[in-house]
Amino acid sequence: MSSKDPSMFGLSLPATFVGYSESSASTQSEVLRLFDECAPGLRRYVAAFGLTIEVTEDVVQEVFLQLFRHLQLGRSRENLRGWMFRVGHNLALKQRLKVARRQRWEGTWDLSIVDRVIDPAANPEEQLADDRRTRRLRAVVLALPERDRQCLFLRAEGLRYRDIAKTLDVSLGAVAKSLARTMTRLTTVDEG
Amino acid sequence: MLSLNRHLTDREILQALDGELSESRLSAVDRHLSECETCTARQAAIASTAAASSADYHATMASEPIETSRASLEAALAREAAEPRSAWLTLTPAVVMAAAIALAVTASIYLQSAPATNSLAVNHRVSLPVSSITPGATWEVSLEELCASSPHVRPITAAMRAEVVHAYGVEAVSADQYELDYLITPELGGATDARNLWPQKYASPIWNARVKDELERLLPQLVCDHQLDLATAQRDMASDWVAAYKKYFHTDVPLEAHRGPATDDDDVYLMADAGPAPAIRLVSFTPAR
Repeated sequence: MSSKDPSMFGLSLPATFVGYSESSASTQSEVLRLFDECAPGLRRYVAAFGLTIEVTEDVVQEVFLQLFRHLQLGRSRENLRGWMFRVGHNLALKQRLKVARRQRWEGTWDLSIVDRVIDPAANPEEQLADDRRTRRLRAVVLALPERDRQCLFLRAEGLRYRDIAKTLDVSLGAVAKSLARTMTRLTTVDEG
Repeated sequence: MLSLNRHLTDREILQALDGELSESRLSAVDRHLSECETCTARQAAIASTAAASSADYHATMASEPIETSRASLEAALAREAAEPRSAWLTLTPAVVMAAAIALAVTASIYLQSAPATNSLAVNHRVSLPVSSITPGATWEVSLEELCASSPHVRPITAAMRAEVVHAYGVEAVSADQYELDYLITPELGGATDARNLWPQKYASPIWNARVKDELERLLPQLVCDHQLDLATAQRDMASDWVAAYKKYFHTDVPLEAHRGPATDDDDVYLMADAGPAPAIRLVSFTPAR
């Protein structure tokens, strides 16, 4: 890219930009509808950065405020769920850096809370087996490089590979490779 | 017709499970699975493990619903909508284009007027805020206060955001491409004020937010360890954070450990204090440039 290329200043205009604000009331309704639909998943993903519930909630709220501004400006409505995860990812990273940077990620998701995932309806033997399996799998996830873990969590949120790639700013191939590598590790431990 | 005369890889199996293969590839995988017990068993194992892992993630990360969450958002949206309609909400395409062209021309003149460049030097310049718009501003806060408690952070209001975005002519740029960054970090007493905020691109090469974060981490430590005067740290950040990085890390280029895509470790974003606004005074800097 030329050093005089205006795009380096972020001046390229999105094709979808129309510059006219929409009806504020209808946008508010739309944002609240998307909040009802997407906030739980977004909250899970943001919390996985090791943030407190309060900070996680702040990040989620900010994502939807930015979404409101995004829609008010008449910008693209294509794949808003992917857009929200991307913005949430960036905000969560910043929060972790500035507010919780000394708090290890494992602090909120460790082996001590395995019992939250055990099926209470299972018999004691099944519960024990589930417990052991969950501990084995979680140990693998805890040991993953962060990028691989983020790929895994975004997949668990149902994002398509292309949206994971956009969120993490990596190639589509890198996402597929990361997930396959992770699944090989998990399956090896699971079968062992 | 695509055929697979070998066992499937885990990647192919997972991509097939996730619906991430092309139709022709998926057909070939399906045909192979119908004839290969080994791969069928492997597919079942991967599906089971993936489901267990996802279930664990969903169960563990499910934070308790916060009752007031939706109501808070509703109120925030109402406040946002009630803000006076500012320039960034009322721009016409013509105005946007004019602003973009004006900024591009300014940038072009700025770059042409500079001495012969190398990529680092050019990148250094485009990584800095415009000093006339963002001179830097701090709360009047003592060293003891600063090091003893959390930094003061006030909400960035829609009007404040609009002022900065308009001043930099980036109204047309998608909000996920940049963040309003504090020039002087709140941990050095930087104020939540339009004079201390600038739109820093996530994707800036070399001197990006990832590098700035390292400086923002170092300087408060030096200040609170009494190795660096607070006013000096504030002024160095305000006048040229790239020069400050070079000065305090004793290097002309970002250290290896501090490099990386800005989208990995991008710039500062702090949530607002819940309490009332602190009774403190803003101090504007005159940049030493």
